[in-house]
Amino acid sequence: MPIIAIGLNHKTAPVQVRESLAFSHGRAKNLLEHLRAAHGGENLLLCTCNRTELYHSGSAEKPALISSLAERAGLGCAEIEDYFYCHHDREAVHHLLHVAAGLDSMVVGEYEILNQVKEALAAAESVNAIGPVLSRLLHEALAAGKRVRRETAISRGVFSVGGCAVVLARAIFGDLSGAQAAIVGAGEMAEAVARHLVSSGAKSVFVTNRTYDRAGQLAAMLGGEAVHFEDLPALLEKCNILISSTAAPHPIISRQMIAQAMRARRNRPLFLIDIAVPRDIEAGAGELDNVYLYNIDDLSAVVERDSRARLEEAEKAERILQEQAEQFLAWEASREALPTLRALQDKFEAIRAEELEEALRRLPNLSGADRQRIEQFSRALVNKILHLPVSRLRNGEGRQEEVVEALRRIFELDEKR
Amino acid sequence: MNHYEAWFIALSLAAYGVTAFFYFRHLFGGREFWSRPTLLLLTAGLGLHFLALTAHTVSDPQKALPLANVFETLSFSAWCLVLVFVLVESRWKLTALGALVLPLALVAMAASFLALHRTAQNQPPTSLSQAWLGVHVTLVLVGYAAFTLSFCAAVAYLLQDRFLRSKRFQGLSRQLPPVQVADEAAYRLAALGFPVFTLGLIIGAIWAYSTQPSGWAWDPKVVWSAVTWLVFVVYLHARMASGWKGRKAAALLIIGFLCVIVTYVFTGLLKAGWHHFV
Repeated sequence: MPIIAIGLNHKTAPVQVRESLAFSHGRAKNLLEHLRAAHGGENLLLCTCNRTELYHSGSAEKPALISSLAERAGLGCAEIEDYFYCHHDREAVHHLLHVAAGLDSMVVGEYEILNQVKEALAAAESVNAIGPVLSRLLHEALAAGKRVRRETAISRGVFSVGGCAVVLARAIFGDLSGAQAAIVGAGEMAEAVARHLVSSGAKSVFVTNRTYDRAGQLAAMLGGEAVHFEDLPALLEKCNILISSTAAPHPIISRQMIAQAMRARRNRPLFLIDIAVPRDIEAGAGELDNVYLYNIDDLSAVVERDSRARLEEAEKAERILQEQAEQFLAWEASREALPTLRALQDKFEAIRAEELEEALRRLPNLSGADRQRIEQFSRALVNKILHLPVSRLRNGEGRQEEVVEALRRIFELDEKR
Repeated sequence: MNHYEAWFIALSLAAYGVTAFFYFRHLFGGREFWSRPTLLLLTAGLGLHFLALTAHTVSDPQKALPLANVFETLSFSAWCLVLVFVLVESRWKLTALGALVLPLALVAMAASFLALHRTAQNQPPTSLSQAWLGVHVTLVLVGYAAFTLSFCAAVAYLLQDRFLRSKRFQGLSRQLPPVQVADEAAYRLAALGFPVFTLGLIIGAIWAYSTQPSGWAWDPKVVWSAVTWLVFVVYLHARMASGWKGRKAAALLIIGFLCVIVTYVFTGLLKAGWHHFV
């Protein structure tokens, strides 16, 4: 059964197009039902914020599938068809495995995609949209995704500046459940970093800003507490992690201030994250004992190095995906060879029965035991002869289609069907 | 060394060796690490080592504790060290220290085999069988084990601190314990080891005074024990009274450990003075 994959992603389509083709859970199920009614076969829809892909095992071709998608999304076919890529059979299998392993993601190696593939499978199963072929393919993809993440370092390290801040905070304090974070200045980046810290267990968040109202807003969003800007020195004594991102043209936190705070803190470690450009915290503060100062470049450098390391792992991942893909293709090939296999066995069985009957007719004087022995002999002979071709077809190795074709021609299997 | 002892020792060495390999692989390879099985294997090694020490002790009817010569004390020290590590690991999760502690324990055991044949020449005075002396040696060695682990935590702290400061946060540094955790652990271990060590010294002094009132005070081991004790007094005072944390505190712990090495190993090599048999 041919497999076709059509789709678009962050590399091929602008965000507006991806948005208009982002099917919600309910709409995705409707679409799957529609596809089955219109084209039959097995259908699966994989929809994430960076991609919309349709996998189809059946007779439908690319234009028909795209027009179904466009129709359901309320778009014209011509508007979107240029953004689509299309893979057939072997390529389609490889593509899905790449996607599931996170190799095709915007951030290579990310975890989320594996869950999204799992959800796509569940959604398709819930409306009976898929059958044995795509089901097997999806399970193969999930297994490949897990294997790649387990056996390579493709998902190691930090993926974002916020994630980097969390990993560093853990390397300083260990468990973050008792950590108190402070945000100075209410920038977007600071908010993102603070969100990461809060979701990693930071106990409380204090927000301070030159304008108190803005601090209040951000504090409310993060479930934290707004603090007056004049209380910054007290904040330095209280918190473990301080994120600074004001628009001030000069440093607002001096080495002197930190040194003073460290005395009051009895040298409890302090993690300073300076996201502002120009910088908010005097660089010299990072030289103090028990003070760890990272600016935005330092954080980005860690993220950058990790993502480069992940890319280097991609080659190792490629080999694993190759293996898993071969496994699936072999399964599929052996599945396709099943009718041929049966026809071959039937044919030989027919010949055997015919010849046996003929032989026994010519040897009327045989005892019962001898007749049985000859019958056994005929079965053994046929089994021995068929053993190699049968196991070859079962394992589905190599150029399966040619083997099937050759067997059909040599033994004239098609005529009999 | 009898038949049983040899088997127990060999098996415990194998367990230590295998766990050391796992800890190294964890620290440098960043691979998946089976924390519980590794700890169980290490505990099994500890049990076998204990059986070896017991077999060694009961094979000599005159012995009450395996602490009468270099072979025995080194083996016992290694055992204490692994014991303290197992306790620390199961409580505070300082897995990275395994790669430091187990080689130290294995070196101590290897050294104990080198010293195996010195036993005959260097018999301790017969009075060593006295119970108080056994208590003295045990307490001092348990104290050393705590100080050694405290040193390992301090080393881990300094490495991690350096990685964090150099902004090279990759590979090895992701397996090292967090700086605050390492710093706290180093402090607690020193603070736990100190009273044990002190009590050991006091009991030793009382025992020595009761057997021979003078002549032992300037024994090299006694002098260096006093130096070691002072270093830890300074550390604990600085930590508790002045809030010393981090690099300076870790540096003091390393000095303290070097004093332990001098006291334990080098003064023993002098083959002079009161403690010449160990």
